[in-house]
Amino acid sequence: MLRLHIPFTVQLTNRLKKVNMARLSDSVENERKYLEGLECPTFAQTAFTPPRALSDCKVALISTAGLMQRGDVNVPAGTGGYRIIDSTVADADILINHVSINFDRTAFAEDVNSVFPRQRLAELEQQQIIAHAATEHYSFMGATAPEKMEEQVHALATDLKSKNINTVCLLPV
Amino acid sequence: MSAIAHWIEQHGISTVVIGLVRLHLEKMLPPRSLWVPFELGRPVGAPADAAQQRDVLLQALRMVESAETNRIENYTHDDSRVVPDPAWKPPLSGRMKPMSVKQECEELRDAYDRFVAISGRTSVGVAGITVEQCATLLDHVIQHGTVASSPREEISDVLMLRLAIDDLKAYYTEAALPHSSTDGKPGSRQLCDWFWLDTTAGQELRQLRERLLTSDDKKLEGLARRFVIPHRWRLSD
Repeated sequence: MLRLHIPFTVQLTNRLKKVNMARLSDSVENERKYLEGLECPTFAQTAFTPPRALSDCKVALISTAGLMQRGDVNVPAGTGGYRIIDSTVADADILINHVSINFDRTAFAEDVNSVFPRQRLAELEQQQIIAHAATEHYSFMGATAPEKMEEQVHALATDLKSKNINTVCLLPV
Repeated sequence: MSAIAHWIEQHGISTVVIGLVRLHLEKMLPPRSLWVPFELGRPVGAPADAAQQRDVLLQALRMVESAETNRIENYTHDDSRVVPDPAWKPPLSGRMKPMSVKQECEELRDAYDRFVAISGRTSVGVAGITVEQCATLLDHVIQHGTVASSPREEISDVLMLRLAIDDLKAYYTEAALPHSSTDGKPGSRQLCDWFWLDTTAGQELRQLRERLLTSDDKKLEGLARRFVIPHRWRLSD
């Protein structure tokens, strides 16, 4: 029997279409064009740390949702700065203050963890699946030109190293 | 996001990016990434679905155990809230549409307060003023086409209007979210269609954007063009 080779991504896309999956191809035309047209810097060389056992991972989260603490002043758009969200900040005091309006905010309104899964990460630590969930997590303002963030990202990485964080999970909105 | 991963990895820290736009992952090739097929704004899946959030986070973190560089994995499960829930009913349905945003906010107050009492939190607050003040600012620009003075000295008038609109959207969303298990679990499209198409605030904002696009005030025109209405609900580009 002749079998056509269909790339996995095409198979996946077709399968997801059947269940009305939300994704780029489901976007309205102006939104899709915007996302497709966004400039993406490329990196000639990729730094790559050796494989690490999950049970050795000390993990921090970095979001680009423009999260801030209630009552705080947010990172001004376009400056590349970030905010620290430490363990003393309750979920009830985390706000989303992103310059973009082109993403769903209803999930965050209902459940902080759908954007910033701090609680899920803590559970992985409690279950001893990871070694440690950081006490401080971080949020940049998305929709910022990456080059404006570079200096502060390197400073943050140095800080993470000093706190023995060896793994970072990055979350967009 | 992928650029941040490249830079952090240079310090010997393992990174994994959870990506919502696969095209961007393919272009920027971070050290490791997990593409999730969810809509923008929910990188680990549906709200109140702890199992899915854990599953996404765990699949992403497991990638640090692999030696394969620039690998993009796919998360293959659906967002459990993407299908509209017919059990959900929007607030204020069947009632006369209020004449002003402020009046509408007053009518939504009980529903909003119930949500806050049950959830123990609110995402309203970026403007740092009351919801009533937010509504007054919006009603002013709707009626006069000009921006009222910011109640906070340190925040410009136009920025305050943007933040007030963000707070109003959060307020309406929370008023519309379920208060009990019998209220249904609305998808984001249900909630946003209700806000943009059925409420006074949403309808007025859509019309307002069209008017402000021709404003001589460049800051106001810029606000209208980029920072008020998501692509899907705009009346024009």
